[in-house]
Amino acid sequence: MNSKILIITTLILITLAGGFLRFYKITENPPSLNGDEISMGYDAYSILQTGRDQFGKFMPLTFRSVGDYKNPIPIYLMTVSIKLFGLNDFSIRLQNAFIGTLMIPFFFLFLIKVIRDKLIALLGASFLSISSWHIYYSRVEYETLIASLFVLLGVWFFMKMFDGSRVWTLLSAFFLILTMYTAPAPRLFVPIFILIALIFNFRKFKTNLDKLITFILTCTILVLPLIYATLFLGAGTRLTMVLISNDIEFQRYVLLKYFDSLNEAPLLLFFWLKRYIGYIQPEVLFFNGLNMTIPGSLGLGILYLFELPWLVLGIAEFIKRKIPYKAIFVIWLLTGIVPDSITNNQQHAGRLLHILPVVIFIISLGAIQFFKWIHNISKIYVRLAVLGSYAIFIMVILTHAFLTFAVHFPRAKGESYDEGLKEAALYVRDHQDEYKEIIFDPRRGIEGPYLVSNPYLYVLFYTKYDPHTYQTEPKVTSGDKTYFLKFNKYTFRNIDWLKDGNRKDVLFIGSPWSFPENGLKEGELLKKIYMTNGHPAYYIVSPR
Amino acid sequence: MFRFFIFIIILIHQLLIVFIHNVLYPIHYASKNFFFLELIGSELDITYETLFILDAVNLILLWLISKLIFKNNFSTIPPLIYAIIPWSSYLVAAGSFYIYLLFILLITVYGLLNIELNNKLGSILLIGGIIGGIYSSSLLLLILPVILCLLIIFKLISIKYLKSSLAILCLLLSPLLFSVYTNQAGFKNILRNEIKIFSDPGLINTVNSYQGAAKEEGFGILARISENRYIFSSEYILLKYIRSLTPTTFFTSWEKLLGFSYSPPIYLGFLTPFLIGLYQTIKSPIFRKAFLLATLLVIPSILSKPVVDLNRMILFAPVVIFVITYGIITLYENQKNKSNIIASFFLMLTLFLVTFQILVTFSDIRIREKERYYRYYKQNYELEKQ
Repeated sequence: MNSKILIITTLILITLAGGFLRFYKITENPPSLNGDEISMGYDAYSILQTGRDQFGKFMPLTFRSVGDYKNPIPIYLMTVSIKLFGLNDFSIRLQNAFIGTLMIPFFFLFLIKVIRDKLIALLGASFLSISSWHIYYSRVEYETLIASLFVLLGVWFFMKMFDGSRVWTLLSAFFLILTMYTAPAPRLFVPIFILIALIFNFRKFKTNLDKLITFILTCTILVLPLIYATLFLGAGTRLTMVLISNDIEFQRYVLLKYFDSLNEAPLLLFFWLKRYIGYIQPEVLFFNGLNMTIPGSLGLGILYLFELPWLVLGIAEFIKRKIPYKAIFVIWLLTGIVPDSITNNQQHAGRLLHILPVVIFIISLGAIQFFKWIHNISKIYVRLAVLGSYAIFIMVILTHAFLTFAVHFPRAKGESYDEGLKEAALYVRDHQDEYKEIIFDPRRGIEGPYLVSNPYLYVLFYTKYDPHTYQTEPKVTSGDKTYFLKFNKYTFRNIDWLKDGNRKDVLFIGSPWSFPENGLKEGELLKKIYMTNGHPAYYIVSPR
Repeated sequence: MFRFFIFIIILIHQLLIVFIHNVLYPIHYASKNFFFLELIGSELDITYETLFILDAVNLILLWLISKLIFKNNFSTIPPLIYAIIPWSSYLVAAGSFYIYLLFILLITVYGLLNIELNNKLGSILLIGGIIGGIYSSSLLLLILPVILCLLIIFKLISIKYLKSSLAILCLLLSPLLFSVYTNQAGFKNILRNEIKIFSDPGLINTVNSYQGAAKEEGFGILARISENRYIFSSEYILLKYIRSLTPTTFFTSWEKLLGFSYSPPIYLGFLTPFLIGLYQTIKSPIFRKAFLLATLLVIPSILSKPVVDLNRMILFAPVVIFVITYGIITLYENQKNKSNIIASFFLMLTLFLVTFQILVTFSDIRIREKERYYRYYKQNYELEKQ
């Protein structure tokens, strides 16, 4: 009884610590809501107010966004936090922070029930609680984090359904398919995982044929709307855009041309295998996998450097030891890498979140072996020296992690989080009545006008623009690829100061590149908005 | 029969080198001088034909070493693997100095393995190898003595076999040590050219930038403790060390041969036997120690400017090949003795993938390799300094 209370108390403390790391200053770091967060947030607000998305579609299965389609579950879930806390940065980021924190006790329960080892379960929960990988994506609205919880539940219940009642079969099918409505990566991962897991466990199913049929039927019924949306509603748009055959490195460097022939498929196959194996690169694992700092510098990997020996020992222990459902863990890990490996970008830690539980579990195994090895050192002063040195090493790495999150990340990545747009939108909200038109230039960039943002979403969000009005009012867009959008008194287009510089009662917002260097008259520059790294993000100007 | 098979393997390898040389001509490495000759102000180039012959001898040495480590039946596997993989062929075709150093290293290893069986031959080869290596490269001056000492400390070889050899080595090294003493500036210059791990100021710039940013936020002390140049340098060295040993370095074109090639150093099909062989190696206490010691051979690559230098990493290639061989032997014996279906499957998969990739790689080399070079290096046919 006492040990149970101790375990529960420890788990509560671990969860609270994890919660603190996820919630603390969540609206300030990352420094701004990025375009995806804003888009999902406004769609959720629109659904809450009108039952329709920003484009007027009633309760859609897929949400049209800029250039792709968003998954429904995170947006529908977001309506709860917006209802409770209003439309603001906190309500957008709340759900990931909450789900990220909730995952800690769920992971503990998973390990206790499946592995039946309290120490591994507690260690696993602790490592998850402080995992930089998990913390980073808990502090941003990122769909795959929500999906990772569903994957954990889905796989856990999949393991239980062999020995338990039919409820687990239904729950497993439900959570696994729900994952496919939550994030893009699981749409490939889940079917492959189910197929291979069923093949490897076919003997178990032979004696439980009714469960197999129930599982397959439930999955099929639940996935039908998604198949329909993918084939007919454009939800498959993203896949065609991001396939590895469109990868720039593959086309420009390997093939030296576009991929347009099946004869080149063998090269594509080996290119894919190279990408697949590339996930065990030390840069991804320990040095820069989270991409939180400027390229070429030492940042944070998906694991901490002090977890390196634990990972190695954990793999050895995983191979040697008899572990329940070992095959399912292996299938989970190996198939989990497939979705990100077939995309046309470099490794993206966010798209691998659904394998995080397996990785943390392996590290927990390794940590136990590591500390057993230290414990077995006969000479006590050697034991203390090793333990002490390792503790110092851990503190140094965690300190670097803290500085990366608190200092370097906001400075290095403010631009990619569209930092400055919030302040600009808030200025619009507070001063729009003073002007007859507001023109916002979407181009931005520290090095030059090389990036294009979507400021209209920030204006909609921070002015709490009425969704019904936005859905129904006329909008003007360009007929070609030029960025142009006009509704109400807002126009989103490139600023041409030669023509625009004489327009009175108009508010212009653009990056410094949008305005002549020394061509603004006194009093025209109303405000400069800076990013955390000190570079100017936007100028707010009105001609006099 | 084995000799005939080795002859065929050598022939295949030489044909592969000629093929790659013809495709890539006149792409070549800048010539590299011998360490001792550079100290005394002299010069000697190793010609392409010499490297061609030395590489053939490397195959024979690999075979002889395999005969001592594995059973006779499996002794031709390492030279066969070495013969068909692109790694050494590309380096010979480009005139890499490290092919010669590999030859020296293999002589040294053969001498070491022979020293307990045939003390005289073993000693001659060991002395010849170490002297040849140290006189040829300042990097081997750094690592060969360390490896030898660690071999003795870890009791992988008994010092009683080495006493006379060590005495002769000290004698033969004295001209070199004297040259180093009299030409210290030249020696430092040579080392500066060889050791370029921190030649890029990016690391120091990052440290300064990080510390400045942290100080502005009030975390200056924390940054000085956890983000100083010593810690970052150590992390960078660790990164290079781990990266030198990850499978992606050997089995994919993640690191480009000659700085531009898409051909992998070793075919991906060998990955499975490599992993199995690695597991078996780590399980055996003696092999585990030998493997850990052998990882010191990646030090030349660690000391280079790029994260991994495949040219210098060729010194480690025989270790990888031996681990692959160990894996193949394990699979074969499992399949033979226990009629293990999984072992048969992995053997077939290895054979299929390797054959398939050979065909794909050959075709790709013929069609696109030169064009890749032009895209990135234009008409400058001389590669970076070795």
